[in-house]
Amino acid sequence: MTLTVRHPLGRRSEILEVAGVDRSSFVDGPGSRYVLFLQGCNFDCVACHNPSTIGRCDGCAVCVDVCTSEALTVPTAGSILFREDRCDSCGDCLTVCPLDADPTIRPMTIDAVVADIARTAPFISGVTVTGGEPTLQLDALVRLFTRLGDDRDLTHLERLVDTNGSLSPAGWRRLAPVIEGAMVDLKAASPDRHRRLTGEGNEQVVESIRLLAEWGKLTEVRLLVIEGETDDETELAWWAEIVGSHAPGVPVRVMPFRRRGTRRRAHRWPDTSPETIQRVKAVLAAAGIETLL
Amino acid sequence: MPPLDQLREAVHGIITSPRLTYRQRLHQLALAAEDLLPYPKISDDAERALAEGLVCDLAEGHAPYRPRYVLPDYARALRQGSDHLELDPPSTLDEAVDFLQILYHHVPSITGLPVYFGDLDAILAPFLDDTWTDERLDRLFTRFWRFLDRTIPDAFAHANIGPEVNPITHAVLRVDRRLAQVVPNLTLKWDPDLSGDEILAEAAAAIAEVNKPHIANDRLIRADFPEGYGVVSCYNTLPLGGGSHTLVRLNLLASLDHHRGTVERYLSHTLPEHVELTFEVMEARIRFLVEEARFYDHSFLVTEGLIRPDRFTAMFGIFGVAELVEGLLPGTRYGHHDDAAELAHDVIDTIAALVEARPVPYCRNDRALLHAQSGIAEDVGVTAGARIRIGAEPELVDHLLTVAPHHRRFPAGISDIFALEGSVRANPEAIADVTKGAFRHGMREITFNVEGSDLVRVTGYMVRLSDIEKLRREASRINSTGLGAESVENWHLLDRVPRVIGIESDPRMRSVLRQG
Repeated sequence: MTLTVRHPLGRRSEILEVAGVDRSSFVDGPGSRYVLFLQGCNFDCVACHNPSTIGRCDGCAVCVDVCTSEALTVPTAGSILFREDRCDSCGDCLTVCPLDADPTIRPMTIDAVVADIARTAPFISGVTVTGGEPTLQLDALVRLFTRLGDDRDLTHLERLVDTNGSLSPAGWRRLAPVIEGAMVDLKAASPDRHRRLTGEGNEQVVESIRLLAEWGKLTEVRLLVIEGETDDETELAWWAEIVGSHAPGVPVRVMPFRRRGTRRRAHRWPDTSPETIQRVKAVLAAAGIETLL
Repeated sequence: MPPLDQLREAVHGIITSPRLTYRQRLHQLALAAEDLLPYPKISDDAERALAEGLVCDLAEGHAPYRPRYVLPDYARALRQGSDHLELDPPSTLDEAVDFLQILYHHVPSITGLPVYFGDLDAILAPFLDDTWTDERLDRLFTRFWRFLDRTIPDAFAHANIGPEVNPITHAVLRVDRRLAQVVPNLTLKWDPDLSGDEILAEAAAAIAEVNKPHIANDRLIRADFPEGYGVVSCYNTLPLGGGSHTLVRLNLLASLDHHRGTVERYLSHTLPEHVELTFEVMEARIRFLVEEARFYDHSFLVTEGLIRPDRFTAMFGIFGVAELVEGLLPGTRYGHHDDAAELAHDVIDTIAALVEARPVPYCRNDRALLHAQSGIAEDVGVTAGARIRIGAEPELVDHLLTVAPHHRRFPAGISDIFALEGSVRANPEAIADVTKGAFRHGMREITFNVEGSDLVRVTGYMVRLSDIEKLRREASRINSTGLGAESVENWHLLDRVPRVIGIESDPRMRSVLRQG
């Protein structure tokens, strides 16, 4: 049985706020990987397919009222107790949350995460930390990756972060030495479109791409292709210009938008067709950008 | 014995079945004739255990006249030729392949067809020379593979490659992947030092497309078989130049039904009684094969030294570990609760100790070998071997860690089929990662089913889903398709992919008849 008491985390660097774990992921980097999903994101992407990882729980307890299986209770005001053994995974708590948070997430100590990775280590090539936006928990993240690198039995694991690229250069200077690479989303080339899609401008993202590429720590740049948004030829030319000039030769992956799991207006957007993906790949190729399969 | 008119009706059914080819009818008629004989003499208790399904002989037949599994020493045959078959030793690779194709047709097994084609890369290596480019090898093995699939149409027939890698190892993986045939089933024997990562990566890429090969932990298995071994049928590891007289299995769910009392009493009394009943049936069958049918006195495979009676063992199969432990510990779930896993250990350790202690006549080292039997189509409601119940599997790593500790206890083989999402096709390195982890944790062998392939595994053997669809209308040229069809229906296989698929099938085609 898992007992989770929720309370504000502040900046305690020995604790990671974990939204989920996948111990054998095939889609978050090369080989089979341990993937840690951290809770909380500073972007508010319309197309987010995992919106319940965006918010940080403030203990308002709206979710407790809709939980019919009594998996969620309020032991003391401002905290929420989650009992995994009672949960029927109905998802109602996520739907009602005004903050796009998740009352079932668990704070884990770095010790506990390292122990779990050690148990999984024989089966994996590496560890990918994603989210949410993992770099929001920078202190703990740096500690976690440092621990993995210093552990004789775990140091062979490739450490990757999957990020929205919003971390400051000062932050990257702390994180980059303890990872093998970062996979960065550049969700749009035009700052206006980026703001419309994510709630934030892309200046910092472009700077992160430039810095990481310069340090040889940029594993991959990703473009989420949304029909009528990011498949526009002018937009693509601009995108290719940014990536080509700041991160020449870095692998680029284009991914189709999928409605499943999204909210608000994105839920009315169509799934991106294979033809659109082919067209986008061709436009990028014409601009000198080769994309992964 | 059923009344004569009932037998006549069964024979008439076989002869007129539109869903059996000529050869399949012939095989069925032989079975019907064999079962006219009385069962080998066993006690009333053992007879009752057989009738109730506590002990199951996999419908091998009443009067065994050939061993269940035969693994000839093909390397020796290629060196010495065969007097019986009037064949000189081959001197070229083409001749060696011809030689094998002829010899296969004289190797019996329970299915009426051979279950072992040999460690092909190793036995054919002496015939390789500089003229054998990859292109020529691919042409040769394309012809060879087509011959096997069309003339030995049974998915229990199994080729092995590795652990040492040569150009044939690569050619077999290339050709097998391109042709995506049901036959041969294929096992790569893999050792981190002898085989290396490159061949494992090639195998992983093939698995991502066609769910073959199965991968065996060579170093671990080799230690159990100093004389050499082969992987045959549904992941049975057996001595090379020998095989298994019979496979008799104990249904642990039925065993639980016969038990009253504590867990301790189950382990100390009920289980040993049921193990002994299983041995009784096994022993009676072996004695008939050796003493009455006298297979080993008559077969040219013995006189020419391709098999040796002292390299035959018998397989003691168990299944239903999951239901047994959940029944003994109500409220627990095997694969999710530590106490269920611990009890599974105790049960398996108890059975293994009994099997290791019990002399069995005419067996290698006077002992049978324990096997986690991977199920047959009729096993509705009881889980194969020591697997976790279908639909109740924990996530992959927990699943592997739950079953891995059992593997050392099953020298005659234990299989789990791990279902993988189709996304692994873009990242087959993940398959190699999982395999290496499994072997580091002491797993003997590992098999995957990747979502979305036409060629899928049912317990261990391969079935094309498109063939099953066709079988509803006409005979399948492949004997095992019918078994797959029944398994698919009984286990809702098509609804469940990519869940684990689990059931070995009755290699006797009875299921096809029952469907009709």
